[in-house]
Amino acid sequence: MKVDPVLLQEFQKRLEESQHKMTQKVFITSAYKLDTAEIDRILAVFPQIRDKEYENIVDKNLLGGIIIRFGSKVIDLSIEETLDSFLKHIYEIN
Amino acid sequence: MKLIDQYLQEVEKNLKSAKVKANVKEVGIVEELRDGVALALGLDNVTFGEVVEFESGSKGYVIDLMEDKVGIIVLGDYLKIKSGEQVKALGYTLSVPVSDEILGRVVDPLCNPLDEGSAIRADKTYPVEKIAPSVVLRKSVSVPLQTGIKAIDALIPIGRGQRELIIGDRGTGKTTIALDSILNQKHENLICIYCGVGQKNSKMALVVNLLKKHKALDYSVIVSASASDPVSTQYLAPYAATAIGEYFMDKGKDVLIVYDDLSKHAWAYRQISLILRRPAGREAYPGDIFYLHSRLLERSCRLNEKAGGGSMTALPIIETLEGDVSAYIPTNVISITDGQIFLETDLFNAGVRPAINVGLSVSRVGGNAQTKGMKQVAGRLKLDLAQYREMAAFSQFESELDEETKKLLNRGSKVTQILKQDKNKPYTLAEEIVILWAAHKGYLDTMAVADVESFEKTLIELFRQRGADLAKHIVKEKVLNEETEGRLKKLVEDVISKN
Repeated sequence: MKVDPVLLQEFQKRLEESQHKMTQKVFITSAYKLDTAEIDRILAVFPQIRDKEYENIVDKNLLGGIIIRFGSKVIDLSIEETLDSFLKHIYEIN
Repeated sequence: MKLIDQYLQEVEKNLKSAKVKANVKEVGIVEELRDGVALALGLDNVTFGEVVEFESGSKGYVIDLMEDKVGIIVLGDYLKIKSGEQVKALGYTLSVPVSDEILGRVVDPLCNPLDEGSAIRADKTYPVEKIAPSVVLRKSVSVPLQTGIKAIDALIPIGRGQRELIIGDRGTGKTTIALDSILNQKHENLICIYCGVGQKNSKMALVVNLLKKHKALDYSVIVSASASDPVSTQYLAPYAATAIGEYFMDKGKDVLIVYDDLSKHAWAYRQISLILRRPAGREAYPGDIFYLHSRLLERSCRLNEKAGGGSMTALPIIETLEGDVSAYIPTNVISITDGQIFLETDLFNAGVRPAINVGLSVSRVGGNAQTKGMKQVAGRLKLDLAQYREMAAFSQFESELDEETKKLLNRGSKVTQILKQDKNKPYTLAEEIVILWAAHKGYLDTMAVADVESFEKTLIELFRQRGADLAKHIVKEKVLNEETEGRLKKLVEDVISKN
């Protein structure tokens, strides 16, 4: 199948852009929908993600707190994670 | 109730002053799960050899870094892992906890106890993969390691810090030689590590019981990754065992480590490599199979005084098929080690046990470490045996032999007979020297081959009864002087007159 080289180029450009966005985009997961003021406060604390595009994901399982994900990095400040690590420590003491 | 209130107040106070720490973690997503190996997307900044934790609880070890994926071997149960679950990098390379408490224990490659005992308490960890000590930290081998086996101590002497391969077909007594060497270290201030790779659990139980029976477990550690364990642990077992050995070596102790056996270790690594789709080479082994064993055995060495003066002697075991030493893995390990003890099925079946082929076995550095007394009696023995082998094949065709040849054949058959030894009955250095001295001086020449065994038995009995002083003398003086030889002569003549 012959593809118009211009079309192919355009398509590749789009693909690269979307991939770039995927890695650059910051995902902030929280137990409820955050408003802009709250997100601004979060972004102020973490310089790594300040100028990046973000998306807010709601996950009730978190119970509270937030999880920030960008690229392959995660900053986990959720209650769920804290409880999990607590459980692990108790297990280790046993 | 008051007490609880107090506690709660305390907790509240702590909570108020506590600061939340934001730790940046490296994560990935399991994309694919193969037999014991997981492939994960993400984990962009993970390092080779780093430990990762799966959401479902198992831990893994990064073994392959591809363009956008990471290959992880799963330590433990991999059947719980589902594709799509999160993997978290833990930020440290795989290490094992080490302490003196590990002596006398049976553990898996991650130092989890396999016996009834509690977990090993340790305040130190040693990395499983470590670069071997450099040239400046090393010293040449100078102290002998007595295996308690006459044939080895006399003809293929092993020094502390040497790597001596034990090679042979199945059922030729490879493990027996290694275990006898461990049994003989009771009073030698040596720490022994037996590392079983891909062995049957029944065999491991036998090893444990044997060491227990001879009270050898007190100074030993058994690291076991049996045939039913995942290949990942089988692959890691020798490295973990070496890490335990390094802990003791760094403390200035002498260590003896047995890898039983490295052919199965190579199989385990081949399986992992093939699952990771690495290009297969000869016999389907991956290209770095040589490095697999060379980096392991390089870690055994003798350190100089500045580095603590410890040593690690390695006795790797390789199983051959049909005595084929020119297969891939045997040739690799032969070239890495400082010599080999070659065991043969034919000899074993002919009743020569240990079934050591003296002609093919060598020790490249151990000769420097042999004691002078042993050198004195063994030097001639080696020559006698070499000439005997040459003549024995030749003499089968000739009916009439000259006196000289007959003498050689006679001496050779007696020496072969005297080098036989029952299993699990190691001799002390003095006992070995006494027996070999008798052969060396020709006292056996007039005896029938069948009588040699009983002669040896009586000699040892008598020597144990009244030779304590003589034994001390032999061990202390190292070299056999006229006085010692006179006493030896009297002892041997007494035995001959008794028989």
